Amino acid sequence: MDLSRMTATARPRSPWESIDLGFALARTWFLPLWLCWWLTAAPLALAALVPLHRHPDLWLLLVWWCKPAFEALPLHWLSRALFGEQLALPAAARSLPRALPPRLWPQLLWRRIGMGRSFNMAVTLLEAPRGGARGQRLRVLRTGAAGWLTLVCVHLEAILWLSGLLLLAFLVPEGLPTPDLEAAIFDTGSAPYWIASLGMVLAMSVIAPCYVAAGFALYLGRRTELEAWDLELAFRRARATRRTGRLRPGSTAVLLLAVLLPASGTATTMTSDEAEARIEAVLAHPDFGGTREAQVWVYVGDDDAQPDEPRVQAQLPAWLIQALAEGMKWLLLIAAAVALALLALPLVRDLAAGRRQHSAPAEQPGAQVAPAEADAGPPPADLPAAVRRLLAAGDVRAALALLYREQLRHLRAAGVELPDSATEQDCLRAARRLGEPRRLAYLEQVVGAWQAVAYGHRPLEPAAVTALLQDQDTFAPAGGRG
Amino acid sequence: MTTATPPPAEQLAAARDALTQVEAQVNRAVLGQRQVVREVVVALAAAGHVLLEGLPGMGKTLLVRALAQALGGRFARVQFTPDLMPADITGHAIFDMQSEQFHIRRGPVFCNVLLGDEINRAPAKTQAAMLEAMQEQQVTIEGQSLALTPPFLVLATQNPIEQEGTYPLPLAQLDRFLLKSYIDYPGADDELSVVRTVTAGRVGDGLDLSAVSAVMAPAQVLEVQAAAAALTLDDAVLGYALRLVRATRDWQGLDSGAGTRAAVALVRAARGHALLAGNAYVSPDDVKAMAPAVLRHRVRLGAELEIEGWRPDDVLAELLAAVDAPRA
Repeated sequence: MDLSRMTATARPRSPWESIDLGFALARTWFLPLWLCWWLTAAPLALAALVPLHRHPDLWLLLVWWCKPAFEALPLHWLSRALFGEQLALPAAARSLPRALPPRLWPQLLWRRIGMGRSFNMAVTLLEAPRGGARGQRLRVLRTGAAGWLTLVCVHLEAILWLSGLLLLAFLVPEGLPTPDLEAAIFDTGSAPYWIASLGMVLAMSVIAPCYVAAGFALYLGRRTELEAWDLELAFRRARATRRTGRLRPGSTAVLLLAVLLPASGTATTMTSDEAEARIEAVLAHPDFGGTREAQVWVYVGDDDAQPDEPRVQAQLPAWLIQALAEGMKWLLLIAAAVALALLALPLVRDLAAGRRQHSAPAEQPGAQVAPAEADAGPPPADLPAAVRRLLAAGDVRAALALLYREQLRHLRAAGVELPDSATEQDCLRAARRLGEPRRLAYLEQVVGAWQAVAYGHRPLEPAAVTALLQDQDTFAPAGGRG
Repeated sequence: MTTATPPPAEQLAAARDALTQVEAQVNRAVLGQRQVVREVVVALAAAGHVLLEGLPGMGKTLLVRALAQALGGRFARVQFTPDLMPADITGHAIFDMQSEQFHIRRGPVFCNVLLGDEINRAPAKTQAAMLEAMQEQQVTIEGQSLALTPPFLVLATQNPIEQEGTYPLPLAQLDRFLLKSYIDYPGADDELSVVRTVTAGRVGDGLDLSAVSAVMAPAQVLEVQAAAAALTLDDAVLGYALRLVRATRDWQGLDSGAGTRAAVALVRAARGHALLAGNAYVSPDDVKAMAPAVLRHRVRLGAELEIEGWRPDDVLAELLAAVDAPRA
């Protein structure tokens, strides 16, 4: 591995920066990475169709389970590309046996389920540690960000799949059969399920380059951090400068130490005692010794600041401060109560309005234009006498109005609901529901006479009204005229 | 009390018979929409224009064509589209090369019954072209006013505003329509009759007006309208109509109520209703019966009621139940 050929800048990165770098790498080389993924996935998926063509769920499970195998080639390609060797697709296909070593098998068996796959694959396939060395190496390099990366990518995969599915469903033109989304998820034998499964594999293939690249970038970041790749590269550049005679003499020793240190290339496991001894040995070098004094300005506050407030507070008697605080408290409470009341008032008004159910106008507009029953005054104590008096005065209309209203009063007394808004026909309909033919016939006579006189302005003999008056007592409610 | 001399009983009976026949003829073509047909015939008697609203395929155009056929006058139909120009309706001046003069080419508005099909598909400018014709019974082309031949009746259909590609009618034009009728889904039996009648021995789905015959001449329409206008109208009934209209202005839940033209329209419609009922006078029942059709397009619901799914008819029903009827 020649670090100087690295196409990405080697510098310490936080895990999220590393993942970001990985996504940037995936964007740069998406097509080759995506094709590499399919180079492995397509043969297996097609081959699995033969035995599992009746079981799309099992087919999908198999494809999902073999994802580590599909990710090996993109990882292999990426590890080469990062150091300047971008393999063409045929060359990548030829390197497939190298990219799928036997040590991949555990990744497909007992190590398949795990959150750190993207990171572990890089260690396992690129460094190829054997046996316990693998575990020891992973313990050194371990980073929790790999788990989060898996979680994020799983969600991205699901979102992509679901979005694609819904988009497909929404784009089906009207008139064609409506896509059955429920079958696409639950009905394993249906065509929608196959489409959904294919969509899922497509979503896997789209996310896989990002996942592999981000895991690989995490691996690089971790090694850069632990093995100081950035320092190594800096020293190499410095050595190259020295060769040209421009290096300051004071750095020579450090440079030599860095270049010649045998363990500077790889992070290794050591005990804390060994590490401490190593650190002390390095720090004992003259370049790390010495004491330097430095003077800086530090703000210590404003000298002219006058501590007036505490003095005023000290001068005021405690009872006054207490009274002021108490007064302020009550003032605030009253203000809060007023504010609450002001806020609640419109609510109460709205509730009251809602209870009225938009029932009544603010006034009866037009009441001054023509009187309604309410303005006709209370019923007379002696109806026959009142009717005869009106007839004698020649006011047939008023006499009939009295009779008509009296009949309505009787109907109400009989349990018929008659609002003031009921017109003549409304009253007759209500009377029909009462089921008393004689009362109905009489009411029809009264209404007919009333309408002809009042609205039709037709003359009516007082004798006809008198005849109606004589009959009306028949329908008076029990217990007198009331 | 109104001072108009009531028409003789014979004239009333003749007018009523004529209207009843028209109603019967239209009902032969349009099944299951008796309420709407009645309202349209009332508008005919009241010399008012009608706006028919309903979903496509509910028989709006059929109703209007059946009415035109029953009336026997000149009928014209304008299909409103987004690119329709005002001159396409009213007419325009063209230059005659031979006489070297401008001649007026009259548009489809010069007729007795004008069907404005899907009027809300045209933009407001074109809709407004009909304002003058509807209100003043005349059209101005190149500065020249041309009177329309009475009777002139506009029956416009529109799809509900919620449908895509429609322009709401301007309030000023809405007010010009005497009535707005809803064509709703017919009952199951009526719908069965419609499908059976339309599909029995016929090819295609063209409008079938073969059952409708002309039972009224344009001159007779004018007589009927004159009879309706001369019906006795008591002050109590007039006051009731006015109370209803004024109540819409203060009613909670209505952003704007009906104007004075609405009160006039309500009384005119009530006259038509009374004539169709065979009465020589207008009663509160006539007013109450016509109030929803007259007022529903002249009131505007508040946002709160709109959100709650109320329709103008719901509010008007409450209003009718709250305003006192005359009893003295």
